[in-house]
Amino acid sequence: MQANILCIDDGPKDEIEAIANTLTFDEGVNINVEVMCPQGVERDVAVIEERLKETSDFALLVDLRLDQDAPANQQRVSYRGPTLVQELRSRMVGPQPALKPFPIVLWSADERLHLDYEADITSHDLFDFVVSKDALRQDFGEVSRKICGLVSGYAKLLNTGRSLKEMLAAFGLDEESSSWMPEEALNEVVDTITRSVPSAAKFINDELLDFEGSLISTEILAVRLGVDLSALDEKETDILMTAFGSALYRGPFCDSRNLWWWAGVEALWHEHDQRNLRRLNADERIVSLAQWLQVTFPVAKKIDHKVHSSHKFFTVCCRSGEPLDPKEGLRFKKNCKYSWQIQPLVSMKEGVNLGASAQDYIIPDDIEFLQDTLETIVS
Amino acid sequence: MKTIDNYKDELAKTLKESPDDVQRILELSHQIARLDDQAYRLTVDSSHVDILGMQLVSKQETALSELIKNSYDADATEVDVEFIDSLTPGGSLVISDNGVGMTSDDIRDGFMRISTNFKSLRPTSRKFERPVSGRKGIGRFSTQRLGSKLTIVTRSEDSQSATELKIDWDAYQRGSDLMAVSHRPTATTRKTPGTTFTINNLRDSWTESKILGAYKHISGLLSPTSLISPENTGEQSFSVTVKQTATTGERRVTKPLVDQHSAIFSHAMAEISGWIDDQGVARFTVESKVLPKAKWTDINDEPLFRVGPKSSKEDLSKNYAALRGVKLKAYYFVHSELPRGASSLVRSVLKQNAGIKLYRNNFKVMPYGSGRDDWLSLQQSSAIRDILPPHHNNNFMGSVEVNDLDGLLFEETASREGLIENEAFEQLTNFTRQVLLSAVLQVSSARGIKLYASDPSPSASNPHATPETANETAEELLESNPEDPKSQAAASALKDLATQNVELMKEARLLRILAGMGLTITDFSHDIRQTLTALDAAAQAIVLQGDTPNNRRRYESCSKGLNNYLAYFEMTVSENADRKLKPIDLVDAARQFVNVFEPLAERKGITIEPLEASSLALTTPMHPAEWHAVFLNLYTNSVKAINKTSNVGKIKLELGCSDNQIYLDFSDNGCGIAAEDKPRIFDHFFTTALPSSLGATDAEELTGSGIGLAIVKDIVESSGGRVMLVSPLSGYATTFRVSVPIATEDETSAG
Repeated sequence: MQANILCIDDGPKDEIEAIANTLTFDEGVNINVEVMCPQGVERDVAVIEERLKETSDFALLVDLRLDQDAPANQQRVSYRGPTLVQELRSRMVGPQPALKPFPIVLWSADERLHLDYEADITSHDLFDFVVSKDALRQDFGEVSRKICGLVSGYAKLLNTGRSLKEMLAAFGLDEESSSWMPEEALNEVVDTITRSVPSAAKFINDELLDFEGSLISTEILAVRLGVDLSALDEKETDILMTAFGSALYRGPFCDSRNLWWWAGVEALWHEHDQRNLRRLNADERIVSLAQWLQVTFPVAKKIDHKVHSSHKFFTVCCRSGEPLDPKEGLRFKKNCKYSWQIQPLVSMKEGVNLGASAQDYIIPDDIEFLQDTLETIVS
Repeated sequence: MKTIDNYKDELAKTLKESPDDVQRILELSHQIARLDDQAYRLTVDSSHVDILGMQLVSKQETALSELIKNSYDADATEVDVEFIDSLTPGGSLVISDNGVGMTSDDIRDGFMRISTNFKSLRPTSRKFERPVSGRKGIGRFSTQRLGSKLTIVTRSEDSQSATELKIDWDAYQRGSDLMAVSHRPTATTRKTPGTTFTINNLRDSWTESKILGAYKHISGLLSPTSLISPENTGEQSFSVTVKQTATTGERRVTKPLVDQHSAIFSHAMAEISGWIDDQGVARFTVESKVLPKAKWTDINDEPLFRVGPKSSKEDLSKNYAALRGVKLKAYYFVHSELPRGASSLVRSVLKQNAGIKLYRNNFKVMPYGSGRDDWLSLQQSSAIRDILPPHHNNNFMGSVEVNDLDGLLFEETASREGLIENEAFEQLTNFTRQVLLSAVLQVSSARGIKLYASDPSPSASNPHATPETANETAEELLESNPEDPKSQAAASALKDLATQNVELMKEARLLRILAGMGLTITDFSHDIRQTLTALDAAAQAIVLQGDTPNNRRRYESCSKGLNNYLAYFEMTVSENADRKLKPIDLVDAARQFVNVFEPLAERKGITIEPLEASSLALTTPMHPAEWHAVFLNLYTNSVKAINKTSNVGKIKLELGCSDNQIYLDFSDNGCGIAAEDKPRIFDHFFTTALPSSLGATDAEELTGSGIGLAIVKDIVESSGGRVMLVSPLSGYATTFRVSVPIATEDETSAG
């Protein structure tokens, strides 16, 4: 995994280089970072064009506020990161874009992201990914892998034909497995990519990969199989992942995360057990897996709280990551725009822990449901 | 009693002889189904309609508003509601809209079918994609709730003919089957698409207050854009007009009861218009129908002027010549002055529609005047409370219209929302803001309320009342009335108060220093945070990647940066505890400032010129920290002024003596200070700062709040000094001169 990153930031060069250098820490990635002070939109664009010609695997890292600092004896620029990126993105539009599309990541101090970026919703679709400078110290590995994943994902999208069949192949699917991907999503990707590769990338990342639905994370896969992922040793992990290997997501942006086609997982399950996974509790699923794979995996544990009783786990709490039967989940406030997206759930335990702030996260009907459940338990 | 076989025979006969008598065929089929021994079925009694109508729509106001919501959902832009002889039950109600109308299918499968999920399936309307507002399936029951006879005349957009359907709700009697009641549609004519509901034999009386109550229910839908936006925008508005008609014998009198103008705009404190005429002169008109004639005279077509403190007027009319053809129309509302009956309705409409929208070539330009947008900085101005009368975005509803077909003046941002903030845009913002504020100040002046924070309050204290004069007065009192116990008590109280006042003044002096420093510290918090993050990353790099020259350089640079901030904190905080006043060596203080701030300024691309000063006399006794607060506030002020330009920033300090005063000249090459702002820059809360960001922190708002220079003035004047603007040094835009008296010999030796 590799990336050549140009970082445009108005801060003191040594400081910015020090922070950007954290992206090179992870040994699993090969990242080069060049730091540049903004010099005017046209000049910035010209440098980017040069780098695009000189290097492959190009990605841009842009500071939110470019208009605050400047090197000694140099003019400060009067634009912010989103203004520059608007210009870049509009040059990437169309079947023959003036600028070859590449991933753009926004970075900024945490408080700036909250104040300036989150309020400016018109800028949200410009960036593939947003990262807080403050959080890089802990998350550098994840962030650098994600940037590399974006770079390879863009390359894949750029090199893919625009027909439905070719796009399906780019997602690692063939005629037989074509139904794993929602038709609506595939059509949307094909429609969008002809207009704008960055928009297609944004759609795939935000609406398909980031949502539990037709694709699921390894954590959810484990929970649906009744397995306690955290208790698996390397060998057990390998056996389990290999068994479901044909359902592994191999489409764009697959390098930075492991996702699974749920329909593919179900198809593999049904080859060995005709029963519906949803109706089995975790112990029953473990027994079935043992018969199939000759390994008795550690069973996923129920959330330790009196409001939780079911072992028919099918998702994880989006706050704590603990296994959860959706019947015992509370709907998290997140807008699901497409039919394949499943509303993220918060466990009732987390709902209780949230106290009065629950109303900021959980939809009102489910807060009532939680209160009713608690009252029933007390009585 | 007939048997099932009787009914079957009769059905067979009807099908053969009268196959078009669908109603009879249906009745017979139902009887057969009812008598079927093999299977039982749920049937619905006709009276169920009545029960549903009364239970689903219990209040008559709700019923009316639901019908109007249906018009909104049908993409109508205008709805006329007429109550005829409705002051007692038995009258009529006609609701007519210009929406998309209903097709036969819509009537049959929508209006006439209970429990359809039509609205749930289509959450937005067909034409304008309005979010559907009517509750599911309430419309038909609303008509039933309102009156016993309904006539619908409707013509859909793609049809030339209209359909009329009469429904007698009384036909739904207990004992008959729901399916047994039918209504025959007939063809009729209607000039334009839309739907008219005529409801006769109204069940209730409709007084004016009930009608207004129903109007409030639909206030959230009202979009009075037609009254504030330029013509032909094609923008979808929604207006409802209500009339009341009374017949007396042959005489029929109709009076308008409520429409958007009467319900909303008639309560505006002022109607404001502004424009740039053909000669390039900015003109404006302010009318008020609310203010009493004795206090207010309309401003009619006058050149634009700015109202200043003490009712001074400044001509602004020639400032916007480039904007010829621009038009502004706005209504100004003062929430606290809204009449009781209309207050909630107007507030509700303002909540949805407030703000000054921008139209360019008849198209609305987003995001100006929508949501949280503050393009005219009205929110910011309200927050800093320099101008006191209400002038928040939600006090206005209006639009600015720009005709710039050739795109010569304004340029849209590359493919996105908004206009590029060029000079024309800045002028437009300024013009709009000035017209609004001039109008607000003019109106508020007539209302007799305080306009500026800096205006004297009616209860301004006597400037000659000092602790010394209080003590003198107390002594005089004692001398003139040595025997009077009341005078003695008063004199004693006066002396106590004078002593307390001295202590309070000392405390105020210290608090001023702290406030001045507190304000500036917020300016650095963001930079410090980033330097800390970078230092942390640089240290981590040395651990993970080794002590390479690059990693070492970055680490040392960040560490040095942090030490610079530390020096700043030490300078600002260390001498705060020293409460003793002593003569200050200003050259030393200035040198210390330059040393600490040079690297911090360099980060912003700003150069602080080397200090050229030999030794000078000492200042009158002051707190050492007072000078730090003065330097800091002048510095942050300069940085903000430089940030408003694209200049390579520079700051220069010069020191000197003249006329028993030591002075500091503090210069920067920022944006300078506009002539009209010069008299007010030392007023508390006066600021020319622009909003620093979309959602500024409290700290950011504080730093642009216009307290800094006022604090400098207070500090300097408390030591008998002065701060003023002087002619800028060559190559600089602004020079502040701070001067304080030279210490006397006694003071110097005591210090």
